[in-house]
Amino acid sequence: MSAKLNRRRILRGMIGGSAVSVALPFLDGFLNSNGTALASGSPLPVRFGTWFWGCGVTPWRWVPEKVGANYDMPTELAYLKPYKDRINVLSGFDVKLDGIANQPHVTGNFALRTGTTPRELDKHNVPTFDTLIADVVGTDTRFRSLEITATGNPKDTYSRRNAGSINPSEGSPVAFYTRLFGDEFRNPNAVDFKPDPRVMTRLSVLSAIKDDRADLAKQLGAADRARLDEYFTSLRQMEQQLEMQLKKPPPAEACTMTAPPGDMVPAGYLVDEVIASHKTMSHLLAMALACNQTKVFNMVFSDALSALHKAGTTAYHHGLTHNETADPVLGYQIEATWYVERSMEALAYFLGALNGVREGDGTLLDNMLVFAHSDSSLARMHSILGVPMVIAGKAGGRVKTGLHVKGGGDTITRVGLTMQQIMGVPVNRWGTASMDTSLPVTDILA
Amino acid sequence: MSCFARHIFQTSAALILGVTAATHVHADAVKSTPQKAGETRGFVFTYFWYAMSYGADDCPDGLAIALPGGINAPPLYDGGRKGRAISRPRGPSGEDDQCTTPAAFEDPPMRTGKGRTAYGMNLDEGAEAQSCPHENYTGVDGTKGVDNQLYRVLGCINAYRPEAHFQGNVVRDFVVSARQDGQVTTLLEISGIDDPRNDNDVTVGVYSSSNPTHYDAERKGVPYTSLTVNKNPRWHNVLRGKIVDGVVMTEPGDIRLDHYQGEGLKDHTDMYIRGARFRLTLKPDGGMEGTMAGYSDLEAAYRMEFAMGPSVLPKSWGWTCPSAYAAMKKFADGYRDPKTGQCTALSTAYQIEAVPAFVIHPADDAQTAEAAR
Amino acid sequence: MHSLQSACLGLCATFLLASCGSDGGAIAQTATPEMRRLTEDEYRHSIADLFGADIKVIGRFEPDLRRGGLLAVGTSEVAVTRAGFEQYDNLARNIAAQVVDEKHRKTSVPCTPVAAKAPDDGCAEQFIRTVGPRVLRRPLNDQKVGALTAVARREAETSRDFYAGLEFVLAGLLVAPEFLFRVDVVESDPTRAGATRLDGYSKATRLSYFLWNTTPDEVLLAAVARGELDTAKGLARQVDRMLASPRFETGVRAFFADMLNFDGLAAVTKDPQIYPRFSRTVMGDAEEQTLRTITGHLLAGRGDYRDLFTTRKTFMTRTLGVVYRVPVAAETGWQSFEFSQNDPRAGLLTQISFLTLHGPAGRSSPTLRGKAVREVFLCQKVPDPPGNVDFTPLEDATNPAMKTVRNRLMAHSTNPACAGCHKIMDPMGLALENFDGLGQFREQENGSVIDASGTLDGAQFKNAVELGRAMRDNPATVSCLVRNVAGYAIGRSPGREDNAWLNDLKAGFAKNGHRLPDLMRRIATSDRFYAISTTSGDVKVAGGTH
Repeated sequence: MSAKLNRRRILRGMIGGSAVSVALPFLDGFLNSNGTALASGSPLPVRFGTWFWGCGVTPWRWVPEKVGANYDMPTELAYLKPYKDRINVLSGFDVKLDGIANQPHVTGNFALRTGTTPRELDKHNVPTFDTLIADVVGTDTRFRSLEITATGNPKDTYSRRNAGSINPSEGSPVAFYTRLFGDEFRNPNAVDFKPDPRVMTRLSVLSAIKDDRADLAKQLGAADRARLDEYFTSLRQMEQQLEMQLKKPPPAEACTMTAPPGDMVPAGYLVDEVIASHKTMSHLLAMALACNQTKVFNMVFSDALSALHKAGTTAYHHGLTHNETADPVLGYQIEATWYVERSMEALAYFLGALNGVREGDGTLLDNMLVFAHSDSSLARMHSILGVPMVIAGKAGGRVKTGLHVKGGGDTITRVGLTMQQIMGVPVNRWGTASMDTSLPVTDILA
Repeated sequence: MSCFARHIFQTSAALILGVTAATHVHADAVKSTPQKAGETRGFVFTYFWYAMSYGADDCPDGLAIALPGGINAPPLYDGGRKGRAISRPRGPSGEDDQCTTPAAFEDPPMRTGKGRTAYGMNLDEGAEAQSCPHENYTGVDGTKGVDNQLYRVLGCINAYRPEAHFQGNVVRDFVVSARQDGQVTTLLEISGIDDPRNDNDVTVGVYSSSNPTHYDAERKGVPYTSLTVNKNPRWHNVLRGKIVDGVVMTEPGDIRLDHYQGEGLKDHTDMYIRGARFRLTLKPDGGMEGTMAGYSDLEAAYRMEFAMGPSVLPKSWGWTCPSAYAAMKKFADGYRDPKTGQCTALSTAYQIEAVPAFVIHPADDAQTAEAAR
Repeated sequence: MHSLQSACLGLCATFLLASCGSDGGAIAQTATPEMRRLTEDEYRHSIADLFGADIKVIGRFEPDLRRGGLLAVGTSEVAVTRAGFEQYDNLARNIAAQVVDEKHRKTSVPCTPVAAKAPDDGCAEQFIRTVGPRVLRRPLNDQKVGALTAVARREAETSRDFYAGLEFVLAGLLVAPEFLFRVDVVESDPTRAGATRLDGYSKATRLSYFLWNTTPDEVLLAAVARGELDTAKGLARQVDRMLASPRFETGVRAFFADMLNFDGLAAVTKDPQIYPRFSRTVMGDAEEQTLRTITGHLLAGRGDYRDLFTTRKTFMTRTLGVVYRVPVAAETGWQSFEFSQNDPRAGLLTQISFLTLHGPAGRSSPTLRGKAVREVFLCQKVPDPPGNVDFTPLEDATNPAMKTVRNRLMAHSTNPACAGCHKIMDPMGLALENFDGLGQFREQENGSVIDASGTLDGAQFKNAVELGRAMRDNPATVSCLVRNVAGYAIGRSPGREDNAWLNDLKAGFAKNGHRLPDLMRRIATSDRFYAISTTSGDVKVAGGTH
């Protein structure tokens, strides 16, 4: 508190003169204590991405019993233990159907991504909310968003602007590498810095609106003059933030070139190949983010009708969820569950790839908002009640983590609304019919 | 008097007298279909599925057999095709669809229930002439002559069984969750109640609604929601009844309700129960529980339970369509076709749980809501 | 911020209840030129009226401050913090981008540039001279127009987009102090030598935010330019026009949302174990229900203010219907509704908004409800409890002799330090005990029948409906409303020097059958509403407009 007062006093002193501009070199010391932003207020970019896996979980082996902080992690969720304090687990949020039939593996996934229960996906002209986020934060990067799938099938994508404008996934690590780091790539650390002329315009307009300061103040009483002073102090701080942006930004310190990956494209959804491809693509994507090539991505680990299977067997993940006899002692489907556990293991790997990139005082994961989810809870039932969701990263300090949030049967659109609001999409209400909501999940807002 | 009863009384009294100023409801907003004196009580079903007894002696032959390989099975029905020319629709991959035309195929007979005890009512007393030969159950409560032939068909199918292994209770859970996620809503309204303990003349309306049933965080039904009857008259059913010692009993009548459709199909299907009769206990908290028994129309029941068209589920849930269809024909015990002698419906029994609700009948003109100012 | 708050403490006291033994008298505050920060609602309505209701205003606002029972009074004390400025800046840039986008520029920009990808000083200046005075609520001087035109040119050149230039100019206007604050401007009074008065634009701003909760419209600004607001006749004509406008309802809603502390509804939480029907949707609908009840009665029905405490008429949604346990025919949205004559509910005090707002998460609180009745509707300040009170008997419902909260409160009130104040709060709260913490009807608490009887300033009542009647007939009910509307209008708690004015308003209010529009008209046309002190040494006369 006292430090703040001193700082304010200093600034007040500074604005006594005219056109004070502070030119300071960029120093690490100017990062705030969380490493999430420059002390001047120029933030490290906050990025958003989805991470999808097909065919849900076994709810009683995944959903924590304890709500809030220090939640328990049942077997299937336990793969995320290293990140327990960096993620939030969301359970008990439901898709609402309003008399519309549940199309297995489709309805839940697109209802939670678009806010509207699709009657027919082919005619479902509602955008998935990742595109709405990309429209806001993705305009100043090379790629507005990147879609990738570990399955190798470009059709495995759940990002779309409407039924006719579907964002295809990149399925080949090699092609993904080339797209990112091929000839078009400009290393942000090597590029000449040109100050953004729009920032200069903003400074000049702020200068124009404060011209009448003296006129305004002279008729006011002492208390009101002090309030006006506070306003102008705030305005001055805004100007200083903008002045900072006119200087060359800090280097993208973690942006380094890697060698192109060896040729690998998963064939026929073989689970080992998918896992290997997912690992490679996780690191490529992390580097794309560190090099400021995009701020939005959609990663698919397995398709909604998960076709993952082991070599030498025709039994695949989705099929197993319906066919496999539950173990009479353990009470769950052992084979199908194996794939759930591989999915969680992969998610942990993915978070590790993001966490391995240093940024400021923290890591790339601290400046991420990763929204991981599936299409259903218990796939055997095609249940869209309590679809499992994990939110990872602190979004540059905008998100509180380490919580298990229980939705209590609330509409699942509360989560999509929250993601959009965290990322700065101007929306205060989202979803239709029974899924119409204006209530963000405030539990996780910092 | 409880708050609930007081409100209800005011509402219904206002309706009879036409005193709109005194009523809770906008003058033309509520139209009580059965215009009778007395109290009206509304309910929304929170649970509505077969009453299953699962006796230890039900399935001495074992469970019904499905296709090998379940969902991954190749289209291998050629082996079962009957030697006559039939027109068959083809599935998306060109395979023959044995579920749409089950009679065109021949499977080994389904393993069915052989127990002696089941839920249900004695439905054919005095109407044996319209029945077909069948074996009666003893009711779970000891009642003799209980008819529940549909239980014989369903009782040994894996997905209808409660055991935790394999697909335990999967069909029930599907149906329950279809109510929880808002696909299907069923309303019941008892009107003309002069005495909620004993009244020899009440009217019972059973309706479908497209408003979702409200459940709380514990998946318990929320009482006192207002729910509007679906305008489709197909799903409007009105039965005569009486109340004896707090138990509502109706005379038999045909019931058609919007029903949860099998997985993967876009349209709902009808639940069609002929000669349905309800036996419902009014609970002190305003809710209600009990049973409905009657004859489930064979074709409708087949569509409702088995004909999941292109869906993969029958293969993994423990039946084959031809054997299930054949079993239904074999066990059908009601509404005998006088020409063919084949019974066209199977006796059955449902379990019902409901919470109190305000049943709103839509006015003839579409919009009852006052335009928001 | 802290110093501002403490500076205010002495200024904001309302009537303290003598029976509580406190001695707080109102300290007079003279009317100086005002500087009030727009509330979130005022900001939103202003943007909608300036640029269209489809312009999205989404973001967080600086919190408002309640003083003397009203946020409107607090607006004279709040400033703009650094974080707040950033938020205003984000809002401004977002709004500006929408206003000049392809969809809106046809209506928002009064001219077409020579080329869309190049600067056009003429068109930019026309935009600034049209939109600027609307945003800042007064004409811009040539110097400012010139500076802003230069900004527009510069941006249009660098971005090769004429409209981008306008966008930056507008974003700037929307963070200007003259927009975010309502700053009075004083001019010399030509009718009285040596005296000063508010200039016409300041009057228009006071008027518009008072009656409409939004920025002056073009007609009002034009009236100012013609000097109409400086004549009694011209002023009355504008006031009558504004009272007849649909925006007046917005203004009335804003006043009652403020008076009833509805900003607190967003923070209300109830224990889901005890009140499973509680939800944010219920709270949102409860607020809207009360505001609809009020405007339906006072405006559409031209009703007597006092009858708000007894009316059976209200509005209902299905969400509310579950809590009130009544049928609601409308599948979506609102429908009118009337409780029957023998229903336990009548009037605002029996609505969920009031019943939930004043109570803890897990039970009802007769004390808090009673306190709110005194403070909100009767303007009688109840002192805070002494610090060393043992509340355990109040929470313990296991004692068989103390099943109802009335029993427990009685025990608590044997403490003489507490008894004085509880005596004046509890009876009204106990009258509402037939409604639990969520406002659901109940006849019993822990198996014992609830006794909801009591007295209010000598009037006996048996239950909540009769309490409503006692409130209706209590003279303080009317004085309090007059005081609140007046304080809302002038942005400060009325002091002793305002007493004559308040008495005059009260007399007129009674004469006209307690019709709120008439009261607001009387305020809007009274000299006192526009009065500024001429004695303050700080006040200097402005040379002209900005």
